[in-house]
Amino acid sequence: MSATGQALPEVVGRDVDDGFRALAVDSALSAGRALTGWLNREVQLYPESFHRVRLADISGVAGAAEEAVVAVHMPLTGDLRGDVLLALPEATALRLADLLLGRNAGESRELTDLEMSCLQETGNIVGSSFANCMSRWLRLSVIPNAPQLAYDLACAVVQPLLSSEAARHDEVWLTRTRFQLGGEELDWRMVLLLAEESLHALTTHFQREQVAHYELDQFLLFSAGNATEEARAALGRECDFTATAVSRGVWSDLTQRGDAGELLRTLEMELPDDTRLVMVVTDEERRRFEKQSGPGAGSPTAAPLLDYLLNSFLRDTHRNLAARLDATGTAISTELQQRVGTFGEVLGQAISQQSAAEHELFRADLLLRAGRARAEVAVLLLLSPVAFAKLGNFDV
Amino acid sequence: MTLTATATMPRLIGIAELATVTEPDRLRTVLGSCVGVALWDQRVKVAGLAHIILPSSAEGSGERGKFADTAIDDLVKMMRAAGAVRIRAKLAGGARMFGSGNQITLGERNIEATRERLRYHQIVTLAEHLGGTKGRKVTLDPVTGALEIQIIGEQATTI
Repeated sequence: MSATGQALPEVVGRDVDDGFRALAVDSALSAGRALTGWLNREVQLYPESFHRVRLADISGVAGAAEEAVVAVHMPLTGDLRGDVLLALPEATALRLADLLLGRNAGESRELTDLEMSCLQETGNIVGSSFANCMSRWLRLSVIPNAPQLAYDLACAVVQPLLSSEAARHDEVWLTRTRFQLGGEELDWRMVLLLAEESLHALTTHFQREQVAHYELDQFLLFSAGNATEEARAALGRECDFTATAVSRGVWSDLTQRGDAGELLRTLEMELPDDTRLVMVVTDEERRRFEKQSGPGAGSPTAAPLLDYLLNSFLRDTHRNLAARLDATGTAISTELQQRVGTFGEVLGQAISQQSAAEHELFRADLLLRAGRARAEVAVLLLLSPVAFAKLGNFDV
Repeated sequence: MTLTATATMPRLIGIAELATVTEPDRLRTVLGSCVGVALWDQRVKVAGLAHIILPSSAEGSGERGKFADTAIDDLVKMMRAAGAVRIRAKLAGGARMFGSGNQITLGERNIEATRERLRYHQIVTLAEHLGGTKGRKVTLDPVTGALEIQIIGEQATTI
């Protein structure tokens, strides 16, 4: 046992570790919701950070090496490769069977095909929830494969997970998760093991995201500052733009606002490198802003004050983005477009020409103030892979 | 065997680990798709156990205990250092856990690579308990060379 294997990356940096943690927590929330629905009882999951485990020590991750467990193994394939293993001691598995089959506590006494089938479906729900959440979060393909069931020794059920990683490494990366049912700690053991190349892909992803967040935050703050100065000079009165931190995510999460029939207005800007910026405000918000800003607060142009301010911000953003992307952009609309629907629907119309599947979607919220008047505006930025790399100063 | 010897908890061998013992100690490991190689010298009463996970060191890198060829080489060396001359082998494990998947191939390849390396060292295999779909808890006694095998839901057997 003297030789050492190819080294896995050292413990990931803090920013990346935060990314892992956020991903694991989000995945656990998703799995908790799914299990709560399945068991009709409140279930909560608490994931640990990803950490390295020596092969010789891995026998304990599903329970004591010689302990009998019911184990559900779900291989993950696609852009990310790995395994989900859910292991339950026999007594715990029987209690879960009672719950799932509507029996009194202690009524299930043996693990027949019926009980095992219920446990397999439980593993399927947990594993699929994790896989689907990771896939949405990372916008990578993470395919949950058919779950396989075994009633066997804890050390034995872990071994099939190791074959590909063990060839090149003496350690594997994994995260374990604790479960609570109605506030009571459950003796369930769940392990998510990631293949080493998948871990590298995740690390790169989180590092890039960190860079992009920083760049976009700086860029929006800069635009908001410029727009504030220009608007104050033009209007001769107090007003300002405040941009909140940028969040990156999936379409459905970032666009969940507005009712299906709500009237929205958008300002849209297109730039080379297949990049688009869309600002969205509800019509109601816009009317309230005009009412609150009161008489004599009109814009220097004939346009309503809010439209003027939004255009001012758009011009600055346009100028900054074009400079960062080393390209000349074209503002495709300087008039607010009237669109009806949810954010998702409206944005679907606004960016229909672009291949959203490959793009990075970011959202920031902009607060406009002019005297007593306030309006919240969503700023959505859709960046192509090329534009994203230019902005973050990394290779495509 | 003394009372003390039987009361001693066997030493647990983890994945990719190997060790030798003399009485009153015993060795234990838990095998799924992995293969356990038990070596024993009846005269010296020394026994060794390796927990192999992969067939060949040519296909990977890292700890030698992972691979059938290097693990057996090292275990034979340790046995000889402990005075063993006439080494005999017993094999267990190589199950197809979860009933499907590529463990069929891996288990079979582990078994074949193990047999081949034992032939290379001219070590006779006295008994085998291989394949199937269930994990095994195996305990090796250096005095008798007995390899006790326990499978969940079945009577313990000794080879």
